[in-house]
Amino acid sequence: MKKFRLAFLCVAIMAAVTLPVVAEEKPLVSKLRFGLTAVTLEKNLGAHKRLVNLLEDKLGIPVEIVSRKSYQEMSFLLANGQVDFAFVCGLPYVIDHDKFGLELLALPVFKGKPVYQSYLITHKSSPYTSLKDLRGKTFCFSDPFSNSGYLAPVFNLHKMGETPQSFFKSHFFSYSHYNCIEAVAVKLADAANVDSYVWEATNAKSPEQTSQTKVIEKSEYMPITPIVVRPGLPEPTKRELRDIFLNLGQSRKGRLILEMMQIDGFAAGRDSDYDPIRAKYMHMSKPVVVEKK
Amino acid sequence: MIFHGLRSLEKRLSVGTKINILLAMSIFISSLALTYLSYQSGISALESQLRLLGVKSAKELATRSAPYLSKGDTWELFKSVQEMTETRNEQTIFFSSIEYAAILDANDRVAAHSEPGKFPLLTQFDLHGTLIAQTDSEVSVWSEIKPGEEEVYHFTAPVTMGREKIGWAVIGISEKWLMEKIRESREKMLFLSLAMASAATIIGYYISRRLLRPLKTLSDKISELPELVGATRSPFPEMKDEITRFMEFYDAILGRYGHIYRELTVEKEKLNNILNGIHAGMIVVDRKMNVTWQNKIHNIWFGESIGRHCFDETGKSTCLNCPVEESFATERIVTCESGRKLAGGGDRAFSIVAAPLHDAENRVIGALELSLDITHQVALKEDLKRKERLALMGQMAAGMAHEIRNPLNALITAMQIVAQDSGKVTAEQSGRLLSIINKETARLNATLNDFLSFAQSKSPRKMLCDLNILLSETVELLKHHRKDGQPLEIVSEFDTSLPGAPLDHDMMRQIMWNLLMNAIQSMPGGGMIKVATGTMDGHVYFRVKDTGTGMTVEEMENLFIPFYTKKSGGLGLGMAIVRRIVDQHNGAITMTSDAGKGSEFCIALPVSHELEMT
Repeated sequence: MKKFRLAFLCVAIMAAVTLPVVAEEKPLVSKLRFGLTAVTLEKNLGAHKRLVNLLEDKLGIPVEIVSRKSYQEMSFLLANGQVDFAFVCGLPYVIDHDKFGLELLALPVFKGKPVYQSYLITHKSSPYTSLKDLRGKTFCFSDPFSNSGYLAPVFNLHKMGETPQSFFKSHFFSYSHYNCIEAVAVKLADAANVDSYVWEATNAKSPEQTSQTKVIEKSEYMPITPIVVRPGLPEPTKRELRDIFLNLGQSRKGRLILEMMQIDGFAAGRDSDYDPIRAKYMHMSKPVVVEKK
Repeated sequence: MIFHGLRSLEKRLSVGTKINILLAMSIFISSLALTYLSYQSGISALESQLRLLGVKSAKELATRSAPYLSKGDTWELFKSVQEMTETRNEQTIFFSSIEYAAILDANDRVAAHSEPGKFPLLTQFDLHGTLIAQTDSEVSVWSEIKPGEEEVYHFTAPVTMGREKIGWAVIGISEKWLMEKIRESREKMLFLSLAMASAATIIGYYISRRLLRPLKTLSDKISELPELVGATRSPFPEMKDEITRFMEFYDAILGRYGHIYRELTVEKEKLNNILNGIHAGMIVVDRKMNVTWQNKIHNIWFGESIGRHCFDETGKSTCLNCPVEESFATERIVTCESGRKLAGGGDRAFSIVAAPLHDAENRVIGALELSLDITHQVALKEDLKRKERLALMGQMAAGMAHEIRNPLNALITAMQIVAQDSGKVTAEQSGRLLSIINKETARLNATLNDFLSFAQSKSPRKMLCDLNILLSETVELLKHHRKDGQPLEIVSEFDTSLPGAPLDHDMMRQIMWNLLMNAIQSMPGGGMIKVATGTMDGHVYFRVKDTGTGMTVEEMENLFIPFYTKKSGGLGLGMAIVRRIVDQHNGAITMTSDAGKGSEFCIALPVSHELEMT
């Protein structure tokens, strides 16, 4: 940080000396890196590219997309400052906020509220009606750090005194809610817990993918997958970025992006909004370990 | 029934159609055979392709799935097998035969299957079936027979991590695709051979039509002669093709023209009889003098000659004055007389006629040589000649007697005068008497000389002579001999390009002398003599023209008869001698005469007559 400031000072002095006439404020960072994981948003790359273009226009600096398969990898990049802001799930936010001070930037507003649910889905022809019927079956989790795709069902099993290993015949991670829907649709897995936003958005956009599945259980409302910023991003940049997200609905381009993402807009959030997740996570007697077969 | 129908159909078809059908059938059969062969090789090729596909795919799946299997990444394993069956199938049609792909864990349980609904995770995967092959000691091929379904081959390849075997990659390939390919290709080939056969039918139709066009034309021509074809009963009345038509035609021709042939045979026989019956030897020779035909008489006379040269029995080359050769050269009928030995012995005289034979384009291709035995006629002719000579001798003797008697009478009278009046005879008288005796004796001598020269029938001794020289010498001699006071003009017109001719020059001088003397004698009051030489038609000639008294027709008719003369002095032998000498030289005498205006004689002598060796 010291080094950064020294560099900044140097740049400022240089600018003051060489460009006394230009009173324009120099950007605090030369570029921004936008982290995306496959878990929630892999099928919406078109909207994300438009979003990046819009950000570049507004900020006047290049914005680069950095995509990773899992939340774990994305956490690593955020912790190391290799990604400046990213879409992550509530659970990694809670963990990383407590671990190294990840901050909330904006929350997507889905169906009027920045909340979502976890849907338990099975094949449409299956006879199961609840989680209890799935003993001895194959279960598909999205990501081991997904709130809706892992924590929620594991917490429910925990309440039943079971673990995935004890309850299911086999389970696996597909690292994407979309993959979970597909795995259930082709009967690779008998059931899965998926993000309600992903299921609804997919159902609205391409119903042939969801038509093979049915939702048998819906969880309580939980704080939604937020946009987070890494600690240490300059405050003005952070503020500018947040303003852009919160006011996305103001511009025509922004509205188009929101439409493509099938959300209403973005809202500012507080860390306390994620306490329910934090509580669930803390409630688990032992920390979540990625099970390997 | 079918056989009968085919038979009746076959009878109606033309040869061209039959050939065409044969061609099309053979092409159809051979293309079917080809189809079968390529079908067989196609099957084995497809089978090996299928095998190769299975082996490759199993190995590829094993390699690709190894890291995921070791991590237990079910989703990625699922994606791998899905890609194996779906994504790859879209890329190439050959992979469309992959029925399923699966990854098994170390305990043969399903870790991923392309049909997860049928094969849930961790279910025991039974590789039931028979091991067919083990390739590379890695990939095994199993066949699985499912009741009611087509055969499916498993290709299993071990999935290894390091040296540890952690599972199996399984590729299921169905023969359905192979069968479909085979059926497809079989249909294609059947269609192709049908197409080829139809093409062959069309091409064959045109080819056979082209090839058999002359046959068809001939057949059509025959059809235009219905009275001929209908005339006879065809041996195969139900057949309608060209060959049958030709047979009918041939039959009709035989029927119609058979008797002509028989007549011809009879005529030929007749002609042969005539030719053999003629008492003359006949041969036909070609341009090389080979005898190609000989009649019976010739055969009897000269022996078998066919195939030999006509001159073989006489010598190594053609005969002297060969009439055949001459007829070839002149393309005219040539005759000659010649003596020949008969095959049975004895010399005979023959009159030989050679007539050139022409072909249709009027080229001489040979000659007919006709030999007539004229031995008898020659003998008769000799006899007649002798008799004629005897008669002539009688005539001459009478003339002689007359000629001799006159001077003899004069002599006798003179002698008697001398004997009776020897004393009275004056010297003057006796001188006159002696001169008379002298003169009459000389006359007698001259008469005897003339007679001798006529009687001595010398044969000419021919050698190359120049008529110009002979004639000019004779004219020179004449100028010294002429009567005094007779005004005489001699005009000479000599052809300087005159060739030499084989002549007896003494005889020639005599002819010239006789003719010139006659000319002078015919011009008592003087006149002009014109002499000339020249060539004409292989002859040299000389002419003597005078402006004398000329001759009457009667005189001209008797001109060459010996002892016929209108002159007071002379035996009347001059022109007879001229005639004989010219005859001896095979020459010719032409004369024109107008009484009171003068006469012209022309003596033509052949140039080509060969020299007589002395």
